[in-house]
Amino acid sequence: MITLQSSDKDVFEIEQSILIQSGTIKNMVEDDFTFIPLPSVDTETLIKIIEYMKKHADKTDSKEKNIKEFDKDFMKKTLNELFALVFAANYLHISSLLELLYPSIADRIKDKITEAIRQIFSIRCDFTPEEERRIIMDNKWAHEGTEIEGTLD
Amino acid sequence: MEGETSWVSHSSDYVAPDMVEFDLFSELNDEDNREASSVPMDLILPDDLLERILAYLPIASIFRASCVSKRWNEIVKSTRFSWNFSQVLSQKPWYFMFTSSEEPVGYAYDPSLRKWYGIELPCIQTSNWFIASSCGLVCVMDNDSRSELYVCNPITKCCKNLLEPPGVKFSDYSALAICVNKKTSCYSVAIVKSKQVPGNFVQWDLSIHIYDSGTMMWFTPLTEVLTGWRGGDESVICDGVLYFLIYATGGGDPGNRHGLITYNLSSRSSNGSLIRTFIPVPCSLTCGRLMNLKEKLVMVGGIGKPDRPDIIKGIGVWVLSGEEWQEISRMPHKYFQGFGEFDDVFASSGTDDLIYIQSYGAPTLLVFDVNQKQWRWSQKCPVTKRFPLQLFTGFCFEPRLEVSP
Repeated sequence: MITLQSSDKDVFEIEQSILIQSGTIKNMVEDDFTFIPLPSVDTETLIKIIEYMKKHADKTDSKEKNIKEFDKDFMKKTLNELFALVFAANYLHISSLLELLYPSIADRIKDKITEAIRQIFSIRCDFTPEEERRIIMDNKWAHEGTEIEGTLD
Repeated sequence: MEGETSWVSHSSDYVAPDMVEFDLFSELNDEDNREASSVPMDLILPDDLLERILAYLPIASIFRASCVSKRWNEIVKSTRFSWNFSQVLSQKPWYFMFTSSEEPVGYAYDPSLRKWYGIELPCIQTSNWFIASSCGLVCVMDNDSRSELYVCNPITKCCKNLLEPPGVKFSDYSALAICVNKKTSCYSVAIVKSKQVPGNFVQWDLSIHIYDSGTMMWFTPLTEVLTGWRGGDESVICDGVLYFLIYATGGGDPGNRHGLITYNLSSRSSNGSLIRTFIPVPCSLTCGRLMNLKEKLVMVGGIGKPDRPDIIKGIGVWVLSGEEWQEISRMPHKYFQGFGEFDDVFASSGTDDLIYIQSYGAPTLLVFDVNQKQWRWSQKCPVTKRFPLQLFTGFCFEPRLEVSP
């Protein structure tokens, strides 16, 4: 059993076989660590990460459909939760979770206009108005909503 | 076609292939909008994480993301990002429809998001220019002198003017084709020119000219005189082989008016005979359109009656296997009827897994997914026919960021 400690100082005891899905933890286990502090992962996020790893630890063929359903539900989180997860999964090197998170986060912003994306990421635009206008005009079409309702089928 | 009542719009059915389907949850999205991230995400997200997330965006979203800030702009414009983007998701090919008979204006249809975009095409000056496309690059040639040639990426607007092609000026017919080597980004352009031998009704001078982007030079590997046949404007390159249609010049069996010629680009031999590669078309056709679908030659043909080949009664899709045509599908009757008036000639273009078909008389677009064997109308084009003789035409291309001429 391996003990993980979150940034909030909560501890979790988990079987090694489940945790080695994390490349980072696997390396530490191979160096004989049994107590692993994770100062950059808070408790709430760590609980979710552990939930994910537990589900994915047993990858038998019959469970594949269940796992897919689980993954789909697992991504139904707020964008802030997904951001926290992507940091943690990146730090912990859990590639299967990252491959789920990238398209999920992209999906949340794909229909947003530029200003909405800025608000989500709390970014201040550092282009001058003239620069911004030029970039938009270069590809005006991407900023227009030319969708017409209706199809013939 | 005009005056159809509008239907319920389809929700965006953009599905990343091989991925779990992700639904949009409007409640969660509203929450995302209301609360900006509690921590300034942009400061903490390292470049490589941001890059990987953005690589899953559709192209239009990528351009919106590039306007967010200087940092995002640099990330999106980087070569590494373009390359990653091409690896992550294969974008389905778009169809650009010219909505004017004169000006090169129109809209590009994105079948993944079912949206039309008003993109501006670089280089092209009128809508009757010759157009060929491969792997994100589009080659265009003017229709007057047939000496102005450009290769461009319509998305990045990167453009290159090619050297004037050799061969007879003002040929009667020209067929244009391009093929891009995905690995090396080098490309070849092929032009098949046909000119009637002066004073002779049945003999035609045919010449093949190939441009190589590496050497930036043209060479003419083959010229041949055809008897009873001429070249036209239909050609495509698949897997290193140039295919083009030839047309009977009169007399003979009315059901045998089209034929296919093949020329292996790497053979470079000028003593082979083109006419010996002749492959007949599968049935009496009113017109044929050639396209490269995953390096297989596919033909969309108007099926005519053997005794009245000018009258179209259906549209078929065939793939060439060896020297035989195999029928992949036939346009279901309801779609054929849905075009209203269908001339014996029509526009059709396709690549990868999709085939687009439209009638010259209306901005209606039909999409056939060869993989799923599914026929579907596109989302309605944001342009209506303004006058009775207005013509619409178009071409298919892959939207890519990472290729340049």
